[in-house]
Amino acid sequence: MDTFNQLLLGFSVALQPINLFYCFMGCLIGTLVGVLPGLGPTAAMSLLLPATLHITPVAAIIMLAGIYYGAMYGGSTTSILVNIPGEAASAVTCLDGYQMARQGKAGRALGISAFGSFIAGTIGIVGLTLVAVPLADLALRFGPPEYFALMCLGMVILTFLSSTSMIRALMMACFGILIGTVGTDAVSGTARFSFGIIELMDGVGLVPVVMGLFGISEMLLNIETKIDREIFKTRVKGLFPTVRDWIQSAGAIIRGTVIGFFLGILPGGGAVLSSFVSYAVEKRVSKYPEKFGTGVIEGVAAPESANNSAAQGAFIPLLTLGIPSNVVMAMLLGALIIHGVTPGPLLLTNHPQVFWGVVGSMYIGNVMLLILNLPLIGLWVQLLKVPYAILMPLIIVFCIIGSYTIANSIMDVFFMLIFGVIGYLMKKLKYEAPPLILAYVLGPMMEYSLKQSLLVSKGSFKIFFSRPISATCLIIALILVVLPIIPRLRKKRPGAVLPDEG
Amino acid sequence: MKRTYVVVNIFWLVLSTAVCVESWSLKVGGVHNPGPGFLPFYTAILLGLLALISLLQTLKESEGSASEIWGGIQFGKLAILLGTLFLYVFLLERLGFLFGTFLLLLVLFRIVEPYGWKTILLSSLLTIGGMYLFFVILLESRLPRGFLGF
Repeated sequence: MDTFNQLLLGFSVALQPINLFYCFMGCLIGTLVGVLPGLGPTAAMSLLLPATLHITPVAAIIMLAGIYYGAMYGGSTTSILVNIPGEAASAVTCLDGYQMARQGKAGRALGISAFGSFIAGTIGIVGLTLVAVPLADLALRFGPPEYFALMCLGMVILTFLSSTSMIRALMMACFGILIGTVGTDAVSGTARFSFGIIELMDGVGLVPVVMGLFGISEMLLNIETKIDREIFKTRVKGLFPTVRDWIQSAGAIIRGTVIGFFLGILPGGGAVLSSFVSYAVEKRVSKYPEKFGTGVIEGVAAPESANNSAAQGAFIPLLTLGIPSNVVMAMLLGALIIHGVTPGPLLLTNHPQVFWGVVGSMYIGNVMLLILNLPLIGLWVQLLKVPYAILMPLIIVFCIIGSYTIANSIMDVFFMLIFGVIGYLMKKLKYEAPPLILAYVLGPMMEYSLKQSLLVSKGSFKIFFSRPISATCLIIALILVVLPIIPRLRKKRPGAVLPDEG
Repeated sequence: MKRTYVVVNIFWLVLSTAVCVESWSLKVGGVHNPGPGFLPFYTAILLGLLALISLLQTLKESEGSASEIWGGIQFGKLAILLGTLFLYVFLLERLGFLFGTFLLLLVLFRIVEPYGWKTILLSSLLTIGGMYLFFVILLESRLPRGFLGF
């Protein structure tokens, strides 16, 4: 009952005209970046983060959250019509979605994608509503050892699921931690790795790092190759799935929702992982697995449902524990801190209007997205025709201005370009960015938790193994690190999931 | 390709060594009283170990083709783009947002796709106008004015 009252509070916040406006803007921009390849939700959020400094924390987070789950809707449009994923979580939708479009069923594919996303997204938000309060209560009992262990587990899971090499992913995590140590040490006040540069005393900002690694590097990659986008030349019609489509897709939507929600909560998980796992599961349980990849509707319904419920589930560890489960959540964590709101178990107590306002806005946002993605699909199809040669300079200038306006410092733009070059080289050499970003954001928090734990235990590492939650997390993390070393198991290790998530 | 990864792994080894040395000077401390250099020191050691393992793995692999990584890259275009961007950053506060970004857009539109100059000029003007409206007027962002005063 208390949850219900809190949810009503959330709706009262979300339905304020200004918050409704920012919710709509987030959904619109999210759909836009989802539709347009080359700019994912992470880069979009980093571009708009400086702009949110002028608005209230609630409105800022509502908009940024809307960009994330909105991109999950928009990404399917370009996957189905152009066979290019608008963002990573819609990559697997290309497999069957585009084939459906080629068979004249583009409308039904888009329709089931939108409805599946809506159903899964709504169930995901209900799950968030019900799970958040008990989890926040549990988290109040967490101490520094639990936080340290959870963060370690999150980073290890992300590296374990690396699509290339776990060793390289671990190296990126180490590199991310080192970048996070640049600046003034919070405990001793000592300047670390700033080399006398004043702008580095506060460390390297999140926005230049993310914009550089995801935005600028993508532009540098795209300058090498010409992206040919051939939009499937057929009028998109018949957006409402038939009864048969619903019967075929119902199981896929439910399974995708459940898989997505739980994988979204998991540290290291997220929408991309969920979409791939959901597709694989659907193929496994199907009566006709050989037809997957030829245009079966379950192949669209499952991953699209999974990525949307994962997007909602991912908010749970961020808002209740203060631990981001993926790169996008790490961005939101940064945004919350910039706005003076510390996510975690005390968020519900200290800033209930932020927490419940965001939750309330998600219910509303899902409805907005259904409207944006079905009746207005023609608009998005037109947008796909904008030449990339026009979009690319715009994106670059946007990145530059976005970086500059954080602190009116040209050094932020310079750092962004440096990280753009680093990101480009990383992509060429198959080093993945997500472990770096997650480690960069979590690193300072991990260091603080580690030092506090060691101070409490008078230097003994036994504290991490004497407490059940931290012991469990660390043991799982150790197993995941050791597992790939075993040659027999190494060949069977599931791979090919790590995204850019944006 | 093998040579490229050998060089990259040596880079990581050098970086981790440099970070270890710098962290040592910051005071590493011990487990009873970790200093500011504690986390970077041990992280750099871990990075170095991983780089060593990666290096050994690379040396055991068969020779691949460098073109798998660097093949097909238009180095000239890339160099022009990067050079332009860094030059823009260097000159932005002197030239000002409007003028500097206009010049940048001329170059960017030309590099990405060789449109005619009329198209490039028009696109650049429209873009700069839109950006000014959005960032300066709507969001009230303070962008550098430069020597022209705007």
